[in-house]
Amino acid sequence: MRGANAISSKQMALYTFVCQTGIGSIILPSALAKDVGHDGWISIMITGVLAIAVAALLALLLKKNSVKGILDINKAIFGRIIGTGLNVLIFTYLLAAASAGANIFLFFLRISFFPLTPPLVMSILLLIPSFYMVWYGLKTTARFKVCTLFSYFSMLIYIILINKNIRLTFLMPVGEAGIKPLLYSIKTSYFSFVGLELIAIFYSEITDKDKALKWHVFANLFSMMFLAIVTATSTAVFGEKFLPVQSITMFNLFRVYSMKVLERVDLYIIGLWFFALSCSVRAYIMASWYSLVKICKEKKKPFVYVLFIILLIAISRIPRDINQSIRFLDIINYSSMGITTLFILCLIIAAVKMKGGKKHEKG
Amino acid sequence: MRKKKAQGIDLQSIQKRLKDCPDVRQKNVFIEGQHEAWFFYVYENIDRDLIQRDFIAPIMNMSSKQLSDSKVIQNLALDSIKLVYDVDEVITEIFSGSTVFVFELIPYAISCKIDKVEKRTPDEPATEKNIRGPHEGFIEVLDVNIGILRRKIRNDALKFKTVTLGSITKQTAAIVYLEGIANMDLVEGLYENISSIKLDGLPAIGYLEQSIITHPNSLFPQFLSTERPDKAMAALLEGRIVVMMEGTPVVLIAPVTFISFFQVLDDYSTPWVLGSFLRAVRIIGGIFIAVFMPALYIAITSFHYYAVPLELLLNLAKSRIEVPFPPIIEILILEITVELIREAAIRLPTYIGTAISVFAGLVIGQAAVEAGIVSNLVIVIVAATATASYVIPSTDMALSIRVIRFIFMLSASVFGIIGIMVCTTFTVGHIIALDSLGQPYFTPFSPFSLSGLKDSIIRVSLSKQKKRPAETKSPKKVRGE
Repeated sequence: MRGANAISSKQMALYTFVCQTGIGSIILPSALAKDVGHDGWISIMITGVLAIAVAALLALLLKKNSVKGILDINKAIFGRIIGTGLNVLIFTYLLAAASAGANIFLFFLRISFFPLTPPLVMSILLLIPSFYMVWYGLKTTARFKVCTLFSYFSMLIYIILINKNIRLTFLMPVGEAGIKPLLYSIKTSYFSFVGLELIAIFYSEITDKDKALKWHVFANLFSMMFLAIVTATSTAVFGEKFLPVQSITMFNLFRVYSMKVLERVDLYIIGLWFFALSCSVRAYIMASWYSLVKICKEKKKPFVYVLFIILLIAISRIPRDINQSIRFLDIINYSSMGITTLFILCLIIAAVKMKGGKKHEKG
Repeated sequence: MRKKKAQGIDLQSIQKRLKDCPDVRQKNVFIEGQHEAWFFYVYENIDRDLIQRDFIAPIMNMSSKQLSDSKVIQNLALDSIKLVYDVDEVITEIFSGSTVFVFELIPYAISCKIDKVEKRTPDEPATEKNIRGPHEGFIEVLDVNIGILRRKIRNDALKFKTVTLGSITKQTAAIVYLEGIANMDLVEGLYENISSIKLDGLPAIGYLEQSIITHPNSLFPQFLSTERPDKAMAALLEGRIVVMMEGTPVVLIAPVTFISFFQVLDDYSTPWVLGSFLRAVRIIGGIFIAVFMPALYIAITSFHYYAVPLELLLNLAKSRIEVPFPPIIEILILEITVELIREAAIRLPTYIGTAISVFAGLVIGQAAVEAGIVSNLVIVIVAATATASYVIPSTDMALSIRVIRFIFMLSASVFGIIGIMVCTTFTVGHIIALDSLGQPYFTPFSPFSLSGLKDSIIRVSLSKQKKRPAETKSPKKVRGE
């Protein structure tokens, strides 16, 4: 799979950025408004700084260790049985994250466009392009992320277009929520930075590892900036009272602008955001499939892939409504914190063991 | 006819293999008035006057001793004299247009190629017209095509690697490249791929293309085909590789990108602003109108009618009120009719084809509206779509776009705008996964290349395009050095 999976640090950075912002920016403003009112953007900035520190630590530890990814490192330091056990745990997390993403993706589009279409049909339809690209490997999946830049660019243009609806007084006074609620809201904001751990999975596939640290920090920095802009704009448009009831905030934001000829401009912008949204879900589908192939030490097999797809769709069908879906995402959010901590611990152990090994070799 | 073996060449087996080949003449002669010998040639493929004067007559004037001395033979004032040592080679030479002399007392046969093949003039290809470029095209004869390229690139760096294809037809194909500019790994890889083709024969270059592409199930062409020498020349100068084949005027260019199929020489022969305008029109028309317009009509009229401005919605409702079919059926009726007209116009003689197009376009369209089968707006959309698909310069890409349009329409009829987005994602994902000769197909967009963007949707001035395209992997990255 090496040839089909080789990516550059820049591509990995874009991969992380899209993974973090695709879904996060849609629901985060509303969730944060419940926690900290109009100070959601500050919460994102604080969490962003924290996420950048964690991301930098992760990339640094990966660089220190070896050219391997976390799945190989686990096997090397904990042995075959424990290592494989840990890897299965990682795979389970990634699959659950992919399923949660697929589920919320489906709900967003069902609510907005096709409430009567059977969810299973919609699931399959929406995920077909992802399954196709994931089969071709990480390289194709990562290359597709470039197309999402168009979605982000459109989003920024849209924010400029709705400047008349932005009331900066809705953001005042800055920091009214207070330190304690802001710190407490980190657990909510962190959801938007879920995805920073994926570099550990794909590290062995990065061709220019010396730049990985720099680009990974940039990815998280850009995510922080983009999310802060979207949250601040949503708050400044809807206000902290009205924002918590906008469960799909970004889609509602798209409805604010009325254009003379196009009438429903939201239709087209949601259509464009579809790219980013699907990429965000695809990032985890790719990661889970990649892990599965690594764990099984097998070449890609169509039969196994079909089973993987069935499993993913089946798990994604567990939450039955939007509230259950958001609860599912919360679980993924907390799991992500746990998994990232696990990665860091594993990498520290690996670094210590490797150092010991090197000393032993020198001795 | 004597039934005995010649010293070096088995005469009997030659004659056995040439049984039932009335086009091959077997002229029996006697050297020194007593030793029997044979001239073999395909009657219609040789220049008889020259062969008689420059080959047969000098050979007939030689003694057996002289004929057995290869130095004397090589001294004949002919540039295409060749000594042949086995029967298979003799047969190949005969059918390649050579005249072969077989004499029992010498260890070889003597082959001389002075062929005369009926060929057309290198006119401008009917399907690839341009305004400001040269008006010549390749023809079916490989040697002539090689000569045309040699005339355009007067440099010893222009190389031709030949390979014989077709286990029965024995056609020659040539891999053309510029030494020092083309990437030799790509050249060698392509040579190996072409050499490994196992087919009886290749009636068209499409057979060769389909045998070597890495994604044979893809709708998109992975080699750029052209009949234009100027296009082939430009490709060679960029570091690309050209494949020519005997018997076809079409040559293949690789590696290419998706955007290559929308580029024509006129983009470069006009000032860059005008060239960019033409290119942008082609891309907007060829991709956005030809693919998305009918699908968007179906999606909006079937599901998202609220996206239409009220005034237009009223007109739309009025025009659709008498149409009993859903939008997808309405569009399909006209689209399929347009496809039929297009096919009919190609197969029929030019003068009838034109008449059919005009008749079908004017009469069927108007009659369909009056009969209440389709609405006026659909006529406008299908006409705009059909016109837009004609602006794509590559017929292969135009065909791909036409097929994709139907997939988009069907998807839009079931899932509306989401169906269009899913199809778009799938199509772009597929294009990203494709490669041409191992190089990414969707560059310069993905993988992103800033220098590549200078010659993509727009083209900047020639002085700003200093670098050769990245996908060619040329060892000489900068042009003009």
